[in-house]
Amino acid sequence: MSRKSVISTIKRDHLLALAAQGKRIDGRDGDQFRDLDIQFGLIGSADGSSRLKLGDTQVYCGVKLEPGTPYPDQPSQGVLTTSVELVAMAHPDLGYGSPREEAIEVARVVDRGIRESQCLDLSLLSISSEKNNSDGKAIDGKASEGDVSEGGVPEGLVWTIYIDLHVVNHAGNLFDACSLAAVSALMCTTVPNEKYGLGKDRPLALSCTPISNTFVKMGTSLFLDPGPDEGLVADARLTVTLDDAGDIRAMQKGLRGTILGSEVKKLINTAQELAPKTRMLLLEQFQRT
Amino acid sequence: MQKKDSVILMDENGKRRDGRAPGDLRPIHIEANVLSNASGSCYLEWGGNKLLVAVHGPREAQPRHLQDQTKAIIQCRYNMAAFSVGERKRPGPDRRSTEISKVLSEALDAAVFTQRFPRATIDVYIEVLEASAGTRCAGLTAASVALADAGIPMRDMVAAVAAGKVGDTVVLDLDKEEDNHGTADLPMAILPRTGEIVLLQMDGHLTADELDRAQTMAIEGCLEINRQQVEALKKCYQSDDNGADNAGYADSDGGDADTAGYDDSDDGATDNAGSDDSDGGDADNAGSADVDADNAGSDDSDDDDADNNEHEADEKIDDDPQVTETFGSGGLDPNVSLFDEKEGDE
Repeated sequence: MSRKSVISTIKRDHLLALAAQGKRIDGRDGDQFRDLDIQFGLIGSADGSSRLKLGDTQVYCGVKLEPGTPYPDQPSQGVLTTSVELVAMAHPDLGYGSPREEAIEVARVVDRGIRESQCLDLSLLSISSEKNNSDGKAIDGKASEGDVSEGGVPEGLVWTIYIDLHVVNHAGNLFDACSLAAVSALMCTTVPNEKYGLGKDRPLALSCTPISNTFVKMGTSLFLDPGPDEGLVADARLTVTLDDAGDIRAMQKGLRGTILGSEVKKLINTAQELAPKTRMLLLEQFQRT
Repeated sequence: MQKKDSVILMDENGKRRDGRAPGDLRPIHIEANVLSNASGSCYLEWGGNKLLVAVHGPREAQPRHLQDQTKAIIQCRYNMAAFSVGERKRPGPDRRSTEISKVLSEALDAAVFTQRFPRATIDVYIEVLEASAGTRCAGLTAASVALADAGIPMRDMVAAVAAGKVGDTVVLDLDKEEDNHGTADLPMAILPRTGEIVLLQMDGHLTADELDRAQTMAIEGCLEINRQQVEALKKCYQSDDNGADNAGYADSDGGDADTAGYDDSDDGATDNAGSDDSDGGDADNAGSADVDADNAGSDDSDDDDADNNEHEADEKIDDDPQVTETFGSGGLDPNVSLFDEKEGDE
């Protein structure tokens, strides 16, 4: 939460006393997520969207694709942009305006998990590859998808994928909430070819489902998915994002405390055990919609 | 009147693109109390609009130069999510949202008993998640529900809707196409009980007679919207079995208590009848106690004046100190008559 957030000494002591016994204030196990509820595709103005509730934390994600200029050093690659808006609505301690460090850190960690897992093949996101699509070239292993008219989109452009996360209730663990919301929104994203005269819309296929797992260290205890108070009391935080094979694609240590190498190892093991379950949960909720 | 109708907005039977008659509203869905961190909140779907409103406060206004020694300030922030419109909107405030924030703050200020909370701010955050014409009216409508959900005393719940003109017809609640291709747009908000106008904007081209018809139509629309606002609040407390989520008034017997704040035109009158003798001064005391501390409930019992009023005011509340307590922490003091407050105002 913001630097202004405080927690009463009595609550802090209580949380730490519980942690010393390996217990948590809401009775969860150390390796247990809060209830996860995801809705897909509820924002009509976005090309892909989700609303994710992780306990009381609530995040909306909208994905939009627009033709844009590529980076000069990678002229045929799509561009991925992730931003997190931690709006004042989300918590009484948040002021309005001013970009917040916390939001930027979350956005960058979410971005890394998606980018490095290569669940999106950015090389297939140049606009000319949409046009090649009509020549029978396969995209994401799929056959061509009908006629492509020469639209009003000039040569040399690529798709810019905007992942915009809107945190409307901050009750801890924005890292996992935002990361899972972004992946969920990408899962139901459509490439809006028709809108730009580039042929038929196609689903933006993901080649894997990166799963983010965030832990905090309180005393000697390590807990998954910190709640609102745990996040304020914790000494250190570690986010681990895993791909389908259980390999590590992104990590971030946070907060002012320290964490041991042996603890990192332990947390990665835990994450490897948990990620497939979280992934199943996500895919199940996706299939239900 | 020049027609920009490359799009057909009205068929030969007088039906609109989506089958509505000129005076019909788009479907509205209102849900109160949806965010755990807010004092009050509301989710609203209205046609293709989806938005969330959270109220934080009343709380001390910071920085201090913003404070008004005589009353609370209402700070409304209207913000659109990047994905809420066709082409991605760059995040952050622009001139349009700044103007809307200002007129919405002023509209809500007219409804809230701000003098109850000197030096305080009541922050109203409107986040538009999907926009499809009429978001300022939708935002205002939802903001009133969120304020009521926060237990903030108001003269009435503001209801808002736009009327306008499409082709040659005066219509209610323009959708996106009608807004883009219509000839006039008239967003309007009223206090439904008195019909006082708290927000009025217009652009386009209307004759005086058409304006008259549009206003009448908007007022009727607002009255219908107000009914749905009240229903949404009632439903919120009826469906809540254990009340655990309702921070402010957790275990108070919801129905009566919460209705008092906004729907006192009929049943509230009896509750308030006893407190005729409470004057402006008492009201202010109660107000500042609420702002200063969470334990306003116990403050009240220390204060002789307030306590006396309490006894005279309402036997039911007197029977159950718990109720007073929960009211106090919710920021709404049942001891002060809303009617008296209003008279004092005029």
